[in-house]
Amino acid sequence: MLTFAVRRFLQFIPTIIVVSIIIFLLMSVLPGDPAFLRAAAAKRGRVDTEAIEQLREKWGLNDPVPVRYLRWLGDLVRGDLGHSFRTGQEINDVLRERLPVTLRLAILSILIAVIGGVILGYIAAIYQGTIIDLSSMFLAVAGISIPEFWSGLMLILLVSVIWGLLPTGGYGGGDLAHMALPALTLGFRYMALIARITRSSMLDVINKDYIRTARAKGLAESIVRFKHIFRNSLIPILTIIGLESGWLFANTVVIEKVFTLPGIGHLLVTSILRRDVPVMEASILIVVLAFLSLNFAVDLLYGFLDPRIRYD
Amino acid sequence: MSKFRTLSVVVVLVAVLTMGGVIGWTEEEQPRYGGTFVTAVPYEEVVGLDTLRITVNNASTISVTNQIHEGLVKWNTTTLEIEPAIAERWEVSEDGKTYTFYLREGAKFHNGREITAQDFKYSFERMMDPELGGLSTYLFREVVGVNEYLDGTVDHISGIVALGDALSIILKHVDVTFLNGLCEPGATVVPHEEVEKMGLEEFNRAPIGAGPFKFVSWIGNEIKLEAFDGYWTGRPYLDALEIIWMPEAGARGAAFDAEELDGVVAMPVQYARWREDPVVKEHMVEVAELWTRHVGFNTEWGPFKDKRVRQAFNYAIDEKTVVDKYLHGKAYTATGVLPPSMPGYNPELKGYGYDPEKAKELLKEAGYPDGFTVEVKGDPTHPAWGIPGVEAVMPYLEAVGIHVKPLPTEYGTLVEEVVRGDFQGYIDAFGGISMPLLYLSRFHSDNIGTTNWFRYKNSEVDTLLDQAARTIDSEERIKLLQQAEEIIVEDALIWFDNYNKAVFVYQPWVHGLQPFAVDVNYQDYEKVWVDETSPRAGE
Amino acid sequence: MRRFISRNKGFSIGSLMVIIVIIMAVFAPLIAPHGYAEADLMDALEPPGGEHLLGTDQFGRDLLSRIIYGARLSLMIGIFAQAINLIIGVTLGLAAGYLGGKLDDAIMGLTNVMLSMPVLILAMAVMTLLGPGLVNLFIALGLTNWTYGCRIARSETLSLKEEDFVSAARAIGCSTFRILRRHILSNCLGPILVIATLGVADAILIGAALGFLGLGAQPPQSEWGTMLSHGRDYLRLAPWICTFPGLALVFTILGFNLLGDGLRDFTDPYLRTRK
Repeated sequence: MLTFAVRRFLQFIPTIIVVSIIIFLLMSVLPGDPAFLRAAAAKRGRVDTEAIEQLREKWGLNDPVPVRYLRWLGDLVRGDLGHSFRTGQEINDVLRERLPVTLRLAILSILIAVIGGVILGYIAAIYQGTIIDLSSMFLAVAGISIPEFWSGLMLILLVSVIWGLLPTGGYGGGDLAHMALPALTLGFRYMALIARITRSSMLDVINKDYIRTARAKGLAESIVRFKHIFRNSLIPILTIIGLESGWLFANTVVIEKVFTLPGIGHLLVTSILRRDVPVMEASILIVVLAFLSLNFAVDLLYGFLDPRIRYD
Repeated sequence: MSKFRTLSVVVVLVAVLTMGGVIGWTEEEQPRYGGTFVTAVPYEEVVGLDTLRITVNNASTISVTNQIHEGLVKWNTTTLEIEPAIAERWEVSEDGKTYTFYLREGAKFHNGREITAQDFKYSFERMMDPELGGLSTYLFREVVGVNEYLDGTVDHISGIVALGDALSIILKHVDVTFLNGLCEPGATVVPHEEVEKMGLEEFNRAPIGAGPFKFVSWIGNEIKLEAFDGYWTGRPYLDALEIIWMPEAGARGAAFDAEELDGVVAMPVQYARWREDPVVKEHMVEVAELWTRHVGFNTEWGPFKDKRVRQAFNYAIDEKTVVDKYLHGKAYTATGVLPPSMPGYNPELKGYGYDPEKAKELLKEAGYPDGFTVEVKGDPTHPAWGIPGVEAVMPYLEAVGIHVKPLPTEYGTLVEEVVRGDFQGYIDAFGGISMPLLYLSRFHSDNIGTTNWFRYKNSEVDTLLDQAARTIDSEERIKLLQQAEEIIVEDALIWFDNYNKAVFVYQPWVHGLQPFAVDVNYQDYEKVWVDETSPRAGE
Repeated sequence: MRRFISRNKGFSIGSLMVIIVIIMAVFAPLIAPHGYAEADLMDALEPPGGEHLLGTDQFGRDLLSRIIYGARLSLMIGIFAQAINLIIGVTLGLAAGYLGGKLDDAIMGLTNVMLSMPVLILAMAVMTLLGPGLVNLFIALGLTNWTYGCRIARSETLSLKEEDFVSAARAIGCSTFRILRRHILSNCLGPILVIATLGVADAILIGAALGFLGLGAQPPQSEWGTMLSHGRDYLRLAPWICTFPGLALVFTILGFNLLGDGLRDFTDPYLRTRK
């Protein structure tokens, strides 16, 4: 198990390096001079070109790209993500504030999606072909076809503006009142996906011989359903949860914009709009790392659940 | 019956007395000490609370640093005149090159130490120190001895002299804008012992200043300040001030409606709503902010080389309808460059008005009877000075044959490209300066490549601006500037769109807010107080 | 075939929805009561009903007309982006599956790297680089979401490669290109069509999300995601600006998803027999 984990982990390293090069290259060819953006007081009437040149020198922007990449990577390995071109704040500090927001949103949404999706899919499979099945599957197709940014806006309109029940946005320290709508919005799409997979995966198992055997043995239906059918259809369900949790993490970007949550996604969008390259790099890297570690966790879980997968 | 009459008389009397009492009380309402004021700032995330590395564009940050830090002089938030702050008074030498400031006795830093002239010398030299990357270096660039200091050949700037409670600053040339610059955040004073003890990064997060409020905490987007008992005018009324960064208008509006904020700026859509609200509409500060929204023309590009084309652009658009219907009345139509609250504003200027026939005629005369296509760059989102502001007027322009192609451009990139001259037209707002000379200096040909985005060369305007810069008498100066402005309006370098109407809405329990035209968020919070009906009256 | 279609309700409803969207897009100038950029500020923020059936936006533009024209943009985004995706993905997939060896390793490595970065984030980064605009949007979406096509093409090729007719073609000396085109590609068109249809829905969704984040089509073009993002500020004052373009978006994406699902059932013999 441990060697398997270590080997899988080592396989991630080249991916991370390639990803970091791609991110850095993309960002280093961006138009716009950050030193200019930081120092230009042009809007109010003054530009101090000497101050701009000082900044360029200080930030090492005059060095060639490979040198900058290696320096950035070196700092990264030492856990230093640098500082924002626009605000001068340490990015580590910024992330420390932003990460909990996104994590809270992601975890809540995943919980909603997994619990809701598995229950919905389970019921649909058990009552296959009935109106319950049809309506829950309609909900599932609708779920993957409704963009989060629209359903979020509609929820705000209904729950916050018309009914006045919950705040229209903001973090508010992360209490349930502020997190309920964003987590529901984000979770809904994945709930739909998980429900679909749960249903089809269970239907695959239901027709297997050993289920018939179990029933023939005279086992109680609830035991057959839960112990035999559900447990044996877990692997595809887990795959999709793992994969889609990564996507879900990425989509916090959109949700945080809709609900004005000050998380990583919000940071990413604002840094893109403000050409704050170090912050962009750091926040993309965080999202990618979260994505990769979720995949890694799923790989490990696989091995744990499916005895056919060997660790050697 | 008589009993009843007596009773009614008593009732009426009591009622009158009570009402009179209430009215009397409101009339001589005494400012009350105590309570917390919570507000939200939009714009950029607060960048740091040391004034060393902020620029005048960091409006959210300045809303905070103005409360913590203090300089020699400051703007009056109602009249825009320059007032004494830590300097009790100042003198300007005959030749206009030497400024001497006399510091008031008893002005203290938040750590209790008295402020000396030496502290200002230290702070200004710190700003100019090339090692530290100060961003307001332009403030002292023209002081005698700065070049030697920047080269590193000397340790101090010879033109800044601290003698007891007097600070003299000697300039290389006459600069009538110098004193105005000292009102900017970059010219505030810091205690050297605290800066040295904490180090720059720490000081940037938790500074010690000399302003009316002391720093308490900065967690996430929320900054908490508390009253400074030793402030030179006495302690502020409020016990505490909280400033939260909330970039999304919707979130600010909701927080204000929920009474979580005591006051906040309004966006056009919110203004449309709050103006109809019976309570909120009574509690608004409105001011013509010092911003001129415009579409700037590149006078070196094709059709815009011709003055008549630029004038046609102005005649084509009905600014009044734009302001009323699109901005919901939250702006004043522009009639010139200088907004109404600016010293030197010229009420005689009438702008261009709406005359599509004349626009077509001018285009025909200029050789564009079928119109032309122009690319206009702009910030992608801002409703008034971004691309949506262009979208709103495109049908008007289309009607006279000017076909606009909007190009959403990230603001920083826009500035860079426009400064380079890589544009045909752009939409933006300029301003944020309370000095008409600086406001108009962007039309001086010396500033092509920096602030003269129109690449406008007119020797007459240059001469008038140069003369104004040397004129110490402010009335004379304003006359010269008004002449220059008339030429600029005639030459139609921009489409004169509108001046922002800054609207600051506040809760009924708030008193003493000022209509500060530089930015209504830069309140002097030491003048603000809350009465006991505030839910935060006792906090 | 006919019986299959009538049995597969999702497929029929999905194709009907897609056809409606296509009609809207093709005949927009004929159907729409106004031009998409036609505006009268005096009519700004008119509620639905009356002269403007779905109301007007903050510039006084007719929402119904803008939504109808928006179908053009969304379809273009979906189809062009997906076309680029398919060209890249299928080419790489065929090459990897058929030629195998080092090339296969390299292509699979690249696919893994691509899969480790969420499409939305990557597309955002590419859009930042290219700047906003419709063509850039096609490119950004086309460069970032080809992995599905690649994997399907590769796995189909791997199994087809061992089939007798392919060996036969090889034996009579057909060129690799000809084998790939005539024998392999034509035999895995079914699964690719499914992926392509579902991918159109994906591209439309991500395209709209980029528009919502301010990185999409340019004004005054009436892209649905951008319309939502501008309507957000008017949620209180004029909720219709957000409501209707979103409905159109859901309708279109749902249509393509149903169609894709239906096609999957149709091309997948296992599912067909089970039903």
